[in-house]
Amino acid sequence: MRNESWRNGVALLTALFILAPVGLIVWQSFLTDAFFSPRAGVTGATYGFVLDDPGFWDALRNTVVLSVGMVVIAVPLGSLLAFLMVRTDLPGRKWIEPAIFLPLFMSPMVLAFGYIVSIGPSGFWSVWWERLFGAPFWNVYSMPMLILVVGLSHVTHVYIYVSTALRTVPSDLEEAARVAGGSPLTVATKITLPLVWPSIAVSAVLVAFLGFELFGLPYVLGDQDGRMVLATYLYKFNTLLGRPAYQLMAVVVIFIMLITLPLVMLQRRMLRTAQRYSTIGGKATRAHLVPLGRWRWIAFAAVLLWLYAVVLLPLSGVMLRSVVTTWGPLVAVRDVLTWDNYAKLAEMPLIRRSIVNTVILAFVGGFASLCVYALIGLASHRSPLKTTRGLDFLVLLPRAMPGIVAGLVVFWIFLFVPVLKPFVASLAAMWVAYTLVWLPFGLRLVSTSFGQVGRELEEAAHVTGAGALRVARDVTLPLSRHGLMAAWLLAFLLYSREYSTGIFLMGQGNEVMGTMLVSLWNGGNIDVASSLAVVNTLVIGGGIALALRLGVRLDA
Amino acid sequence: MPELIVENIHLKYGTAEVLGGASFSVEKGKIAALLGPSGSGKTTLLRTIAGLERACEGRIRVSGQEVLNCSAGLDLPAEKRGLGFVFQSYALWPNRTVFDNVAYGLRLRKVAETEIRRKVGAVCEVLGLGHLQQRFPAQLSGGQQQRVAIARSLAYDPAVLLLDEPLSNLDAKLRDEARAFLKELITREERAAVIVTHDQIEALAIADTIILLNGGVIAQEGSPEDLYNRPKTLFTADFIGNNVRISGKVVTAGDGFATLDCDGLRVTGRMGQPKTVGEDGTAVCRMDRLTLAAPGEPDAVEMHRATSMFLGEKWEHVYRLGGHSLRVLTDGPVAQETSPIRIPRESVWVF
Repeated sequence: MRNESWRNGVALLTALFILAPVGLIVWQSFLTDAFFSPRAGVTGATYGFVLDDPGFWDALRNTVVLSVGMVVIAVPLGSLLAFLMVRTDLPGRKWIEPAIFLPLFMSPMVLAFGYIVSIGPSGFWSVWWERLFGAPFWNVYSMPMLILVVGLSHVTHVYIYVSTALRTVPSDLEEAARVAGGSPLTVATKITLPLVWPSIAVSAVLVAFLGFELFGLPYVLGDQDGRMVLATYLYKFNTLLGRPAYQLMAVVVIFIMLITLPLVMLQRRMLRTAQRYSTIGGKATRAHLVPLGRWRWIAFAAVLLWLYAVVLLPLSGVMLRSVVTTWGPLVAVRDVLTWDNYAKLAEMPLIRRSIVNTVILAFVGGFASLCVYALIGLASHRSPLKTTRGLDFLVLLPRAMPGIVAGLVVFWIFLFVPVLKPFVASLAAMWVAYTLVWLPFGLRLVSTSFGQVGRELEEAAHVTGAGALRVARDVTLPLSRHGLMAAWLLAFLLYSREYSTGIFLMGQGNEVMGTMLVSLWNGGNIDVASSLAVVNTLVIGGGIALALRLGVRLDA
Repeated sequence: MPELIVENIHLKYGTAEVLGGASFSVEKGKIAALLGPSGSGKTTLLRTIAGLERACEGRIRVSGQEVLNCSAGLDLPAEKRGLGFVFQSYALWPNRTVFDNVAYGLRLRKVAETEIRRKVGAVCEVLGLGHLQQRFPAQLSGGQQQRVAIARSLAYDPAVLLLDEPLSNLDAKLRDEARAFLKELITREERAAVIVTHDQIEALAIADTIILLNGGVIAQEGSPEDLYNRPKTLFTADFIGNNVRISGKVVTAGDGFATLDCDGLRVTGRMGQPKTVGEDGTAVCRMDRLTLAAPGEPDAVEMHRATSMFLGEKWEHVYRLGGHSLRVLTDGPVAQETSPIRIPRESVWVF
């Protein structure tokens, strides 16, 4: 008889891996105390407590405003950027293209630091501005500034979806409209825009969803005025009442997921529709570019300005801050230049360890996660079973989980399961949380790679006498190795950048750069934080350079 | 006992029935061709035999051993059936050399390396691939790739060889050579082979038995001559050969022959099923048997020539009568505007 129980086994383990944390959250939300406490009883009152807290409503309102603001800024700009890059003769498209992806891999913590040391009250650019023009008109800690920053840093997400859709629109559709008498602008709005509309809508839902996940930027830029979003509100409960209020945190998590899960499901549905839409034009014709005329250089300058705002401005800030001892209105840069901050990185064992840990977690852990994803991917690859197809739907749950939440529940799972408890503050726990957070993304990458292996190549091995595992080892894996390597590299980049997932899991010995940045910020240690931010960016930059070198697509 | 016995295979995709009870068997050294229009289920049937599709009913025996018995809950996976399969795309693993492609089945069977070397060498020699063993599939021509695919499926000595449209990816000239080669090879190597094809010429040429499929069921099974000369259904008569179909009313019937009146065009042919006078009927005429009739010849109809075309070897003329047109081949040009056209009754079937 056919043995497909291994597929069911893998599917079951994956389901457990996904459902156990979710189950634990739900259970915890109905308890009066932490789930491991002997005093914990069952209650529904916690929900009432959270709903009665004006702080919760403030956080929810802020999150919604932030999320809507992001959509309003990122969607039009991202769509416009996609149109400029794909359909017009914008100068320098070749080297702008990889630069567009940089914001995807910039750590939000680094960005947040960068804005504060660049355009904060006594930031470099603020001080220079003041010398030239007088007091700056902006306040980096204000809500509009926060919205602007998160909006601009998510333009790339929209760009990816819309540019992909634009590339599938055959240019003869546009040419037909041009021949019929339409001006370039009319054609763009009346012909091209309607065709990519579904993709724009998908990206809008994605950006709205990402708005609910935001942690680093609102934490750093909004915290000073006590302006919280749901994720930072959740984080506050860890320390607010003297000791972690797990039941309250569980309830907040449930509320967050009640919003994010429908958004994720909506996005998935819309994405399917959009893909159906985009397959109209199958013929790959050479796109004829719309000439921008004198708008060429204006558009070019606008793109550069955007790149400056989301990459160069914050990066230049942390880089400069990392090589000075102090900074303020009356300080001249050349008087305070120093390499001491980098020396301190090496001297402080905690920081040194966090760098080593990050590299281990990103490189080795990234590979280990890839192996997990590949195993799950193989189990559902060309599987006739309903169980493995159910996984496709189940991975929406971790997708809807912000990193900080996934870290929290993995922390709880490690506390909950006796054999895991000794490892609660280990790199292993960190790895489990990272693997859970990136499960949907990783699974999509490996499934795509496996899907590109010709079906008959696998069947040929089957009839020749190879069992399922042998086929995977001899045919599927070797033939998809380029895709898998790319996935490993992307995992490396994402794991190096990750900061929010590890917040609750951080203990003695498993510090990573991202969480270290958060705690350095908490401690007000800006010098060291800046130099660590530069190191973090260098690690990621190295990964990106390697990816570009190897031809790995960064917009996967 | 036949090497391969297929009994009453049923297969469904969801609720749609793809195979509705196909049965046939193949002896050692013989070739059976699964022939049919696209969507008739021929490839699905072949894949079911290989274990790549799952039947919901039926039995399959290979060399006397049961590999599928749905009522007993037996369904061996493809890797346990020990069959050879040649894919339409050849499915050569691009990351392995010809040698490694061919040796794979032997390696899976844990054959000693020296024995593998000997066997692969022998198979490659037979298929004329001796000098190409260290090449990668991408470095081979289409014909060579096809032979590697066959070598790979023969290397581990399967009793039954399944071939899915093995010749369709070759260009016309190579295809004729490969067809003869394949037939000779299978007879000499004494395998039982099942070959899927949509090309009736190929099936007629290569097969010992043709299994003609229509809509997931067997329309007719028999030797190529049987199918060509004794079609039992309208579908078979029409599918095999290059035909013209004419519909009309039966005017006379008896003695195994019936005559149809199709708006003035009278056609006489063998009855494929009993017909009575006054019934509607359809005549299937083999186009290549139509000739210009000599005076006094039977089965001739006077028709009007609409146009003529020079094809190089032959001339093709279109003759019309009423709403019907027939294409007639001749060796030379024809001057007359009207001619008697002979529609020989031995080459016409009435259903």
